[in-house]
Amino acid sequence: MKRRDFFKTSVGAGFLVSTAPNNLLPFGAQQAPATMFDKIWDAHVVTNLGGRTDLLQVDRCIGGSPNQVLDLIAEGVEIANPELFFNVPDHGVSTDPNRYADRSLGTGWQSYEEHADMMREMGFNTFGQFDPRHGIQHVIGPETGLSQPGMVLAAGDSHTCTHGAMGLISWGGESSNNILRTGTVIRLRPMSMRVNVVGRMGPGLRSKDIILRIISELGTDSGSGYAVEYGGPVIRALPQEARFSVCNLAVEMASLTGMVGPDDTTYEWLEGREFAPAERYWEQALEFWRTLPTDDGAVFDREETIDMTDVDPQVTWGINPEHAIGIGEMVPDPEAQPGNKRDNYRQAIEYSRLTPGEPILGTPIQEAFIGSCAESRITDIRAAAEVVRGRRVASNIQAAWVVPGSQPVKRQAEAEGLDRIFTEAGFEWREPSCSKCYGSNGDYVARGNRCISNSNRNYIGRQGGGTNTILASTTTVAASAIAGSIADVRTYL
Amino acid sequence: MTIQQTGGQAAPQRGGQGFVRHAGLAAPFVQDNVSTDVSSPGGEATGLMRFGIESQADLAFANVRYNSDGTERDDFVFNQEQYRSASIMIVGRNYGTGSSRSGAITRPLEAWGVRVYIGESFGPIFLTNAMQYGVLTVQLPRPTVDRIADWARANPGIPMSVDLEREVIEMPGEAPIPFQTDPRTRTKLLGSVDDLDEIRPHLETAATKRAEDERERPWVYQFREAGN
Repeated sequence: MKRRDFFKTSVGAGFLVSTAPNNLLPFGAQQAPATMFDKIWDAHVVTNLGGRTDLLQVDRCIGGSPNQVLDLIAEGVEIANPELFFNVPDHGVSTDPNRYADRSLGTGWQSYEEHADMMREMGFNTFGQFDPRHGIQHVIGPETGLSQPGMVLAAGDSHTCTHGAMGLISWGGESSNNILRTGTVIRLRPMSMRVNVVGRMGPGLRSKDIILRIISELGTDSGSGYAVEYGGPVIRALPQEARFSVCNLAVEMASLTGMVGPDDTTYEWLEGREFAPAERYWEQALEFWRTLPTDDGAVFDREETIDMTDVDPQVTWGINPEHAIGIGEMVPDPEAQPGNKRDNYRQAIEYSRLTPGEPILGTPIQEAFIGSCAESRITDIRAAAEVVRGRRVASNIQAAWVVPGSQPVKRQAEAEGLDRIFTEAGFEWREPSCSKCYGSNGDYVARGNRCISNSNRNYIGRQGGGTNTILASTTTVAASAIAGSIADVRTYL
Repeated sequence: MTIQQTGGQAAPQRGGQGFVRHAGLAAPFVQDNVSTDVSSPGGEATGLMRFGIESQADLAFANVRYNSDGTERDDFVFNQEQYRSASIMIVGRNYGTGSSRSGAITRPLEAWGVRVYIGESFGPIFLTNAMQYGVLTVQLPRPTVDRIADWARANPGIPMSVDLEREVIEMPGEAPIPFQTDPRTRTKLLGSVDDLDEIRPHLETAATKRAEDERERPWVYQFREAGN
């Protein structure tokens, strides 16, 4: 694939890289249409390390815990740009409603509390468990305005792709140590892919249904080797928070990173947030961001189109996110699959304890979970509350939880009285963290149970040994908790 | 030549690890879309720790390796006599997909000394982690992967060798199977090159670029106090 050079617009002129790529066009020459991915990547290349591997400047890194920083300082390392780092412990943090009263429920919070002032003075953004902005890292980044269009954001967690919905390049699997030391990261440049989502979204459908449909149609490894941009009129019409849910599952199609081009929806959502560009920079930032979206006529290495017309609310029945079907469909028959899928489907049927040919609708469930970096933002909580209002969780449900994505989301929801809607219906309203998505801190599904979850992974044992995970949108989960079985959200609208 | 490692070694170190060649028994685990949740589940959530299944090595593949009562499942490859000492895994498509947890590499390494994965394809983050721990991933067409798995099943106790320098898999009685590795990955593994070693020559260039960026996009570098 030919490397694309960053087009020097009047704003981007200041972006000239001191180490110019070998095939840089003369200044002012008309540049071929470029994808958003190429524009952002090219602007961040420090140098090429051979083949398609580049050394990139990092703009944001989720990393830099107090202990990590202290260790580096003790080593004599000077961190040039601490403001680029934000760290929020989430995976290991309890969601127990008593975690503020009973500090024995906290893990590792002492370091954040002890060093909060020092970290702030040094210029780091750390949000410890007791910080009023605390929450799931992939909710916090955009929510605080740290994740902005045009950036390169690297971190450890695989769902770092979520931030790409702001119009940036982000991925996980990186250790923050070298990023702290050098402000750079090494990465093999992926190929580019765009998924165009078209058609009409039926009633009750959410962006989670879009991404589950994409993965089931294209395959759970379809994004392997690609950076994926989600585009098309259906994506364009989504509110900002819904776009995070799409990019969140980019990694579940084996793409390193998922992105949505920024637009006025993005800029309006971002404006005024704590770390968004200050007023004195806002117009300049806007002008720069408007150069980022993919140009008309830009060529992707691969393009796919997904039509959402007549697509039903989606649920997964099996052991990877590709095993998604419409709520009105039957459990698939492994023997009817193409040869190379048969073994995988047989294994999935055996583990899921479902019967091929039976409707998925009405499958009994024992637990329901609303939370996770996929769909725990205020608009998700509101949508679930609308389904739940005035109804009660079914008597066969052993646990139904709502875990807001962050303290600000939780407070907003409480200000709107949403927490009472859930608790009156029989849900538990808990403190933010990753929780049951992956079975952390005692927040796991009981062995033998089926849990319908608005999260992003349904692999064997994900939520606990010997458990079955059904992935669905927040509102499908809410409806199923009411029904006590896998439900069609449209009957609850 | 790397020595086939047994369990009980110290926790593997990340970064600057090398790989030249490895000989060992191969265990066929040719399933598709095996995620890192499967190879490296959270200990507490398995519900198996009360049976003493709690070390990093014990927890590798725990949910498909043990029954709910903590006894070994005999359908799990490493529980079968002929594969107990295997240190090469033959896997399917999209192996190691999902979460970035490094346990997906380090737990099988600690449990059985797994230094090589031969498969049809791998999750992108799994590839990054493997390289950091000096573990080799070899990608081959599915028919070839199946052929290697068949050979392993038909030849219990016979080791194969995987040579990164010559980029070849050698199985006694079979023609050598060539494979290709990304050149940078190969160079790094052969030379035990740490990421920092690669980055160091370019630190000045990076600093210059950063200084320019601070002028061009000052908002990225602003730090505003919280309204406390």
